[in-house]
Amino acid sequence: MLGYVVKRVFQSILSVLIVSTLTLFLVYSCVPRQLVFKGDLVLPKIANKPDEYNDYKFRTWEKLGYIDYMTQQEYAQEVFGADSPNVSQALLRDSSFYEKFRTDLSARGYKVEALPISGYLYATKDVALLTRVFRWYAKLIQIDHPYRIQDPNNPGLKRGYFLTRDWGGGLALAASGTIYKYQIWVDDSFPFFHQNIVRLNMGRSYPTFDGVPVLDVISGGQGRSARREIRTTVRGEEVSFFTSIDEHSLKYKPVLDRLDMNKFEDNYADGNLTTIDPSMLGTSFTIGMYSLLLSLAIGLTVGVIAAMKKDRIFDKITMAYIVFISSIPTLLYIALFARFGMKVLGLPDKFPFLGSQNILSYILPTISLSLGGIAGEALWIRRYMVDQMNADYVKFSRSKGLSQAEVFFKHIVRNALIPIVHSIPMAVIGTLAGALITESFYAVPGMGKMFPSAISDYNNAMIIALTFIFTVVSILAIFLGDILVTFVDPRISLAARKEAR
Amino acid sequence: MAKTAERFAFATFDVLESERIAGPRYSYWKSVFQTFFKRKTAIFWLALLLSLTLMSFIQPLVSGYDPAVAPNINTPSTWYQKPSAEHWFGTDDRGNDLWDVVWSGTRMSLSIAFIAAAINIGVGILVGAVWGYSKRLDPILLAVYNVVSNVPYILRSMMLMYIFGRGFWQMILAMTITGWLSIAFFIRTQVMIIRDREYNLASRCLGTPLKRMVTRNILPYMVSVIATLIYQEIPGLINTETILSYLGIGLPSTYPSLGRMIDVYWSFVDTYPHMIVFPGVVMGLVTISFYVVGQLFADASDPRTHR
Repeated sequence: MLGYVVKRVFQSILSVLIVSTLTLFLVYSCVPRQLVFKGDLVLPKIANKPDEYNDYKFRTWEKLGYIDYMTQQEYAQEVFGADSPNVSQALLRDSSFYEKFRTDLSARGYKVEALPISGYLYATKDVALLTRVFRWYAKLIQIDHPYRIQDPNNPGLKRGYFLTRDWGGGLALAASGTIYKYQIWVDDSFPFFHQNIVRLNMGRSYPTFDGVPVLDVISGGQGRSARREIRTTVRGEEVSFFTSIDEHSLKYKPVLDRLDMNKFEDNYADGNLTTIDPSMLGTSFTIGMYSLLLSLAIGLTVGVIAAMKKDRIFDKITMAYIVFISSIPTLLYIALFARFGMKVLGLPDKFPFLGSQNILSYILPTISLSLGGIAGEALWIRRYMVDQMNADYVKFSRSKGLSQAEVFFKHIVRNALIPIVHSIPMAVIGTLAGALITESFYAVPGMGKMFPSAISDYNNAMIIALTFIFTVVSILAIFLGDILVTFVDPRISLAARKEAR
Repeated sequence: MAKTAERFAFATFDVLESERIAGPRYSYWKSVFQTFFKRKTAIFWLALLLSLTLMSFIQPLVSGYDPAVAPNINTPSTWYQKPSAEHWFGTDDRGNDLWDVVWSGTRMSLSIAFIAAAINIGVGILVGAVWGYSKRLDPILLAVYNVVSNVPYILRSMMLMYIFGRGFWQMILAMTITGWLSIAFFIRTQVMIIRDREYNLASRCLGTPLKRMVTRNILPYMVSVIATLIYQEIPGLINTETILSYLGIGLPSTYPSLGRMIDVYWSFVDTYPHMIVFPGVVMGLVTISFYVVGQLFADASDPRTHR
């Protein structure tokens, strides 16, 4: 068993690597880089200033990893030092630096060109596809340690770990010299145990959520910031203030202002804001999990009853529902259900009408998402049960004189549930994929909606990150399904059986 | 002894007679269609399916509707008309006759689904048949399948659509480039199950060549399986098309399609419901009739249902 798990974990990691590498290759090589500016808000404003326009474009491409970019001024600063008077000399029209720039950067493999108006030179070099993919992986895993911060203006920075209490009074392992102050902490929000030591860095979002790390976009809170009163001690003095800073996200801040000094003892003063709305991840997770529970509860009940009353009216209605849901496009039945929910039940058909704080907002998206799942679970449990009905062990149990209910619930259902248990983690993926359309339709601010909007905005970093996450979740789900089924059914063994003799 | 000779007479050998008692004539395909057409529901859905398909392929040729051209865009009186004798489905927000729009949209969605399904199923069956037979190919294709199938299909097609750009052939490419894999895997498993049955073992012992084994022994056995694949594949592909087009990453706006119609007309659902009802109903009928006809045909093609 252990050997099998290790092998599967290895396979899964390999799978994730292959899928994300393929995605990276395809996105970087097939999507024209000019398209990333489609959603850019700055570019149209400077369209009539060719120099700025050029500069902005190349800087953005550099930021996204497409090219290496060097301007004449940057090179002058590199050669002479940032504050040297030679820098401004080098930019004068008759300076010999022009020639030096040309020869030096051409030698480095750059393509040198002049800006259309000012005539200043700049140089660009395409980053090879392989290098780009390699760079993405190279910075993927970030490990925080007490020697991470090297600040020349703060040589006395203490380094090391210590136990402390956060603002809420919870126990936490904090550190100094690291990027993040709080390294490990426990609180009451899922998954209760949190850490900042190993973090994934999948690049920064652009053009939507410009500059924010993509994982922060997905996992960070949304909506207005939530202020609360904090009482704590700073340098021995008791202070109380209103803030919306999330203390667990506090990062090293090189230069503190007076307000920071009043709140914090050390240099860790740069935190994210706590917000009133849950993150995209949280919203999707809530809706997905509830809809999964709903589809299991309703789907299995309906399927079992339909199998028990095979070919009677209840069974026929169930089958009609299953055919309806599996044949017509998802969009159509979600739209139909949304109209029903709005007109008949009076529920909002757009999530933002009532917002994330109101439970009514969640009802229609959750049920919509489970409509497909109900049909799937009902179909499979019914089919398995009908198949089992003529099995020998069922005939035997009947001949033993068991009642109809005993035959069904002690024998048939238990056997029919095995493949269902196997498929539960797969159903998680199902909700994931279904969430793409449901969340878009109801305008739910979740991950599912993020994917299509990232595509229409050409937000490459976000697309790659989401594909990565969805793939990891899918692989994990399939893996869990295989493990789970061995617990339910002792006859199934995952490890390849050794050939007898 | 003598009595026996009185009662029994030797029969003469009759060639014609010996043919007759060889059993009732059985033709597989004839029985399939007989079983299929015995059900009234099957005839109804098949007639509906055929008329919808024919309508959507013929009507756009007559109407000449082109979403890039809106001839009535400047005559507001033609906009938002309720269904009437002149405009059976009413008109839309740009004065286009919805009857025309719906059929050309259906044609587009069906064309994509037909072409993509033909490629997926064709390639899937071919590769699957070889995959099921070849022991050398199995580990390679299995590894590819394991990687690809980890990513949900809709995510894959969205990803590919993003990479290839928006358009008709791009969409077919996005749907087929990995779409055949799951079908091939399914066929592979079926072939593996059937391959080692006793009758195939016997056939192999008698020296039947591989080609004949596949075409005569195995494929006919899988007609109902293949029928099942087709009836699930086509509504599935129409579903994918509508999702992609609805999310704005499918067909560009110069193509009419069912998904785009829902996307564009949804904002009028309260004020002019006819604009969403007619495309919706046609879309529903097309997919349901495909599904039901396919299901009934798959049932009929299973020899165990034949009398």
